[in-house]
Amino acid sequence: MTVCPECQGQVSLPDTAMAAEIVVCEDCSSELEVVAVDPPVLALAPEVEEDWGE
Amino acid sequence: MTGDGDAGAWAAAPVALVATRIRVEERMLLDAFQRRAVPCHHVDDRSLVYRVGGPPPPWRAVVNRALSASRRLEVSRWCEAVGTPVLNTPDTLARCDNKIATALALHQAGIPVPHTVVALDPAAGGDAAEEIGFPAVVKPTTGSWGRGVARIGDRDAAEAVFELRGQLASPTQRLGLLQEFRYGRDLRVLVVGGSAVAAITRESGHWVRNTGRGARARAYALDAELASLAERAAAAVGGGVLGVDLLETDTGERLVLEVNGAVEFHGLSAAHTDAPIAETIADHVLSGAPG
Repeated sequence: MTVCPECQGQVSLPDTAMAAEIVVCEDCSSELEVVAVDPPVLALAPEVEEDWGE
Repeated sequence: MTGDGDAGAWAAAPVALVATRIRVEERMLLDAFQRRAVPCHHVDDRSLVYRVGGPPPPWRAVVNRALSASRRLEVSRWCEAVGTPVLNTPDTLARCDNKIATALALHQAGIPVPHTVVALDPAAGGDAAEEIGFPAVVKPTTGSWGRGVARIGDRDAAEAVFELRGQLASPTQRLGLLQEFRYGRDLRVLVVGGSAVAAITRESGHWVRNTGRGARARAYALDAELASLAERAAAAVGGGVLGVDLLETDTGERLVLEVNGAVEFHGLSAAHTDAPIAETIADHVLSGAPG
C-alpha cells in the first residue's frame, strides 16, 4: 500500500506494477503515475500534452 | 546495422522500449520479447540525456513509443545518428506526426486521399473552407486521438474555428488543414515492415471514431486491395510499424486519412485475439531491419 499524493488515501499497487504505469486512486479518482515500485512512489499523472498521441 | 560490427555482442544486447507510459501495447511488447528470451528494458523518454558525439546507447534496437511527438522524433533522430536501429525512423515520424506532410507524401505516391486544403494563417481559414466546400473537417496539423478536430457546415463556422485557432499559443496549432467530409466506414490497417497484418473497423455514434474516445473496434477482413493500399501508404511515409487509417465511402472508394507512426493496437488486438500482433512486431524488430 502507498499513499495517494492528491487525497492521502491508501492505494494498493498490483504485484506486476511497473514504473510509468497509470493507476487510479479509488478514493478521489485521480490518475496516478507509478514513479517507482520499490518502495512504491506515486505522483499525479501529467495532463495530456498538446503533442501527445499516436 | 550494428554500428561496431560485432554481431555476437549486438545479439546479446537488450532491446530498449522507450515509452512514456506502460500501456496495454507496451505490456504486450515487453511480454513478447520476454517469450523470445530477449531482454527488453523499459526506458522512460523523459529520463533520456545524451551527448552529441557521444557513444551509442547499449541497446541492439529501440522501439520508440514516446507519447510526445517532439520527444519521439528526437529519440529516433538520435538513434539514427549513432547507428542504433530504431522503429520508427525519424523520416517516417516526421511525415506521420505532421498531417500536412502526411497528405503531401501520400498524394505524391499516388495514394487516394480526401480533397485537402492547407491554410497557413487563420485569417485565410474562411477562404480555405470555401475552396474545399462543405461539410468539411478542420484538423490540427499535429495531435492525435481526435483532439481539436471540428466538422464545419459553412463559412461562418469555419471562421469561428479559425478565429479560435488564431488565439492558440503554438504556431503549429495556428496552421490549418481542411479536408472534405465524407460519410463511410472507418478502417485501420496495421502494417509491419511493409506487410499488412490485420484490419479493424471502428464504430461510434459520433463522427470522430477513435477507440481512445470510446469507439468500438471490430475485426475487418483484410482483402488484397485493402492490404495493398495500406502497404503503399505505409511505404509512402517511409515504412516501419504503422497504423493506416482509411475511409471506405458508401460507393466503395477507399481514401487514406492519415498514418500513425506510434500506433496503438489495443483495439486491433482485442478484435483479433488469434493474431499475435505484438509477436509480429517483436519479430520484425529482431529481424535487424526495424525501419
